[in-house]
Amino acid sequence: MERKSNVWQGTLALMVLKTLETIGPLHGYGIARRIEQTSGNVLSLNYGTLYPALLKLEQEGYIASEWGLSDNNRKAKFYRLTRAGRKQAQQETRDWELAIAVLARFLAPESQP
Amino acid sequence: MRSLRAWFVRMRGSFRKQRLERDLSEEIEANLQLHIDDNLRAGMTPEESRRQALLKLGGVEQTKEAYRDRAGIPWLNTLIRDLRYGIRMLRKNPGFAAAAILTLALGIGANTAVFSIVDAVLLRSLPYPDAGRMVVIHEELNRARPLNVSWRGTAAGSAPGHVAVAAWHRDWIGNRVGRGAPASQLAFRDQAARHRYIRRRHSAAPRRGIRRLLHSRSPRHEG
Repeated sequence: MERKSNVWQGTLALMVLKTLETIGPLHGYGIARRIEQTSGNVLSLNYGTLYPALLKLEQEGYIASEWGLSDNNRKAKFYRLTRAGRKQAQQETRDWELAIAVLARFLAPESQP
Repeated sequence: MRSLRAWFVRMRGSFRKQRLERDLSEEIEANLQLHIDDNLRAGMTPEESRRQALLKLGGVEQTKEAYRDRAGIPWLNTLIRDLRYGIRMLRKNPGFAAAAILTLALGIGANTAVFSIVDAVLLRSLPYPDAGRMVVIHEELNRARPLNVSWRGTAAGSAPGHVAVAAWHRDWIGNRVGRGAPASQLAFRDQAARHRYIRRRHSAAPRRGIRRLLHSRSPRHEG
């Protein structure tokens, strides 16, 4: 059985923002599937955890939602990125890139002088 | 800024729970349906499709619970619920409600009355010009309790530096002295001091007040 990781604390919001930034408006199920696919199925997501996360982002004004129809004509609530959300995604991306770069130096130290 | 905005939205959310709840139920159901469709397309039986979708969701009730905590402000929800419960109970027991309200009314009333007296007697300044400079004069003899000074002696100048001297007795409280002592009740050191007192008393618009009325004025301020 392959090993699956849970979504790390604090990263779900950024994954949602980035997903919406890449694909455009999407419903909750689509976002969840997309996050799993993008992670190469390494991440395992309880779809239920997505709802509070989406709600929080909406309360903060980073995303907006409205009801619409899915590809196969099902009713669904679609989320899209707001302008503030776009900025937030960029900001958080920069922060994470920095964090990852710093951490990488600890994980693979180059030859000691 | 963002979190402030979120707080406002959540505060509002606490008051329109039913709408949010309905919206969430519909959203969960819609997403489940999408998931089930996918599972059917992948070749599962209808029952298995639904079971897998629910499993992946991690429980409808848990999801709703987590959502509720974020949609409103939990302590505000509790407060609203408690208030509603309290009002309902009061309405159910009118007798108890009346007793409780009456007790509160009496308590508040008594408190106000007592404070009015304390305010008039202790807090407000006395209705005389330069009320802050008033003193009570008495004599002491060794360790004996304070003795009243001789009225005539004081008026004749045994309390030097005082502009006006008045007699005071606790039986007078509230009647003779209550509205500011008229100048005729006071003994002045000289005619100029008397006029000064009258002038100031008229300009100072006396208010309600009780007690002590020795009006003091030390010589160094006499200019």
